[in-house]
Amino acid sequence: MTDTAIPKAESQWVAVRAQFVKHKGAVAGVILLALLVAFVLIGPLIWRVDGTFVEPDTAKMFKLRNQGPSWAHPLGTDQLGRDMLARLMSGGRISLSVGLVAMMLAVTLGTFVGVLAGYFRRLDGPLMRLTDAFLAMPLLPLLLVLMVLFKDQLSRTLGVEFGTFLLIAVAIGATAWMPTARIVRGEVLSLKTREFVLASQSIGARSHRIILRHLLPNVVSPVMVAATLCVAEAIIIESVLSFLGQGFPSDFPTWGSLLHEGLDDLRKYPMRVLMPGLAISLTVLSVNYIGDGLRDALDPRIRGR
Amino acid sequence: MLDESPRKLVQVEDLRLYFPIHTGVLRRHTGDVKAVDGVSFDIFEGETLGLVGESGCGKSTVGRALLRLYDLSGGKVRIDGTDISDLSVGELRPIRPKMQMVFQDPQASLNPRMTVSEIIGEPLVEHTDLDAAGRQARVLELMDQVGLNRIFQNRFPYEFSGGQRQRIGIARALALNPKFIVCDEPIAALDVSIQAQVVNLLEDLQDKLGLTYLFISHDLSMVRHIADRVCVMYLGRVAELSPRDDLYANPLHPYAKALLSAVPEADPNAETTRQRIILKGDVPSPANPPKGCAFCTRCPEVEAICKTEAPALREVAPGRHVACHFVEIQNRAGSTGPKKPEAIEPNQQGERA
Repeated sequence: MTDTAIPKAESQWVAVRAQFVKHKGAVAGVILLALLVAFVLIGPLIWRVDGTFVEPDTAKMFKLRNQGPSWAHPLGTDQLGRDMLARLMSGGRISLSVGLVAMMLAVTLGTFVGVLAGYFRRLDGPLMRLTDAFLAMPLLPLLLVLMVLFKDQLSRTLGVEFGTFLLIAVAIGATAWMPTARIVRGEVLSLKTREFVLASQSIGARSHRIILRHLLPNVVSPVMVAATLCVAEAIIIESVLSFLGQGFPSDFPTWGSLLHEGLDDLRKYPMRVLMPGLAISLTVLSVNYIGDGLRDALDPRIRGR
Repeated sequence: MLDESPRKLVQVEDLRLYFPIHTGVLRRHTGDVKAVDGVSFDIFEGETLGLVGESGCGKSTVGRALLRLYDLSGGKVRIDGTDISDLSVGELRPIRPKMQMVFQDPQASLNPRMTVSEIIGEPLVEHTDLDAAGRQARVLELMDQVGLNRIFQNRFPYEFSGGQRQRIGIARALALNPKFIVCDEPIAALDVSIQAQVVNLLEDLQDKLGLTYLFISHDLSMVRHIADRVCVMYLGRVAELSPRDDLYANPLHPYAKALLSAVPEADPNAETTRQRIILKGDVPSPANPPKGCAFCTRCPEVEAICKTEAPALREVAPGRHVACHFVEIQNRAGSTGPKKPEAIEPNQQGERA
């Protein structure tokens, strides 16, 4: 034994953060996402134009329609003469939160189902058949039925905005967890035959400890990938629902519904599609890079380099 | 403790472990892979029992069955007087600290996302009330014991060589002061110079802590080095169970003879005269073992009775058990010299007791 001082047990999170910061893409992703969040949260405080305001005077309203960028309307106006910048800001709030909340729900649910199915042989059959059943269901009609059944009730008890938001996030989360569950199950099946799990069993560790200590940390990478893909999917599904008239009411703009409204005049006014599309793409891109960086930072083998 | 009557720490009686085969559309149970089929032996406190045999003969399965990592299909396993063969997972938990395992592949047996101190400390978290500082102290003590530098404690397994990883695995096995350790081919994945280090470490620890080992290996010369008695397995059954020196000097079972004839001699003169017994054919499938003696399909000395009747494991000389119809009960004991029944190599644990 040498008498070298034992390095203090520095928290793993310090090392994780150091590695995360080293990942240029991840840092760019964080900055981009922060900018987007600032845009939708702080933006409306600076740009104090009401995105839902329609000029009551019909003649004036017609003049205001489909304008290009100007000082009064930096991103132009839509087909009813509403300010696009303000609509992008308030729409982003809903889209971002639906995307992130639905993603977390889907990933949590999917990981939970996947771990149970992979680890406990008895649950494998029933849970995987359930997953298959969900995968086989036509999701859009299912979502529409859910909306029709619960939207009014929830809007009444929780308010239109929050009620619809909750319903959409939960409904998307509850119909997007299957890929994650399948991926996690496969990983757990192969992990649980590894000798370190056997070693833990030979110590007498209980199942939940084995799952938390040995299995979950080792399925992080595939879950991260599934999660980032999920965000984009959630934002798009929300826009489809809004487009079909079962999402948010049209006076609550979302990026998805802006995209769909702009689609009719795509040739004449491409800006109206480009802006919300760009916002969605940037969100997905930033989340993707953050997931990439997190995955690397949480893997000690990569962290060491 | 008196050397005359070493205590039986592990008693295995008629251990059976069958893995069911399901075939057809309905997944009907159509047969069993008889991985372990009626194995009996005892391990005395403080000794090392070597378990040898070719790949697939059920060595590792025996080792894992002893720790109840599988549910037994039949037979009894007694560890330190407690019959563990039918205990539930919950009832087993308080007994687990007595018996631990060192695994074959040091890469696979360590969680890549845990640091060394977390890995070694895991058993302490499970079975003791130590706080973080107490655990830390014990982990450092264990790292000293297995010869790992203390500054490594916050590193991850990928940063270590194979030998060091195996030391981490050994430290984890020692954490709860076990009495009995199953070493499941602990050196098979290491290169030769490291093998010697790890085996010497295991021997030192045995001397210091009075451990009892079941040393599973297919490396006959390493088993000769570390084991006190050796059990030769073939196709899920015990072929011969003898004290080490007797077995290596004069194997009795035809399979043991063939196996030992494959060990190269270090002495070049002896090596040139070494008579290899080459077995013909393949090991029969454990799903469909031969009716009589398991070895009857390849035995050079096979007779009619071998194909119909399975030989029982008999004590043919003091301390020597052989499962063969044609090994006479003998008292002359040839080259081995008179030995006390179940004599084991003097292990220094006597000094500590």
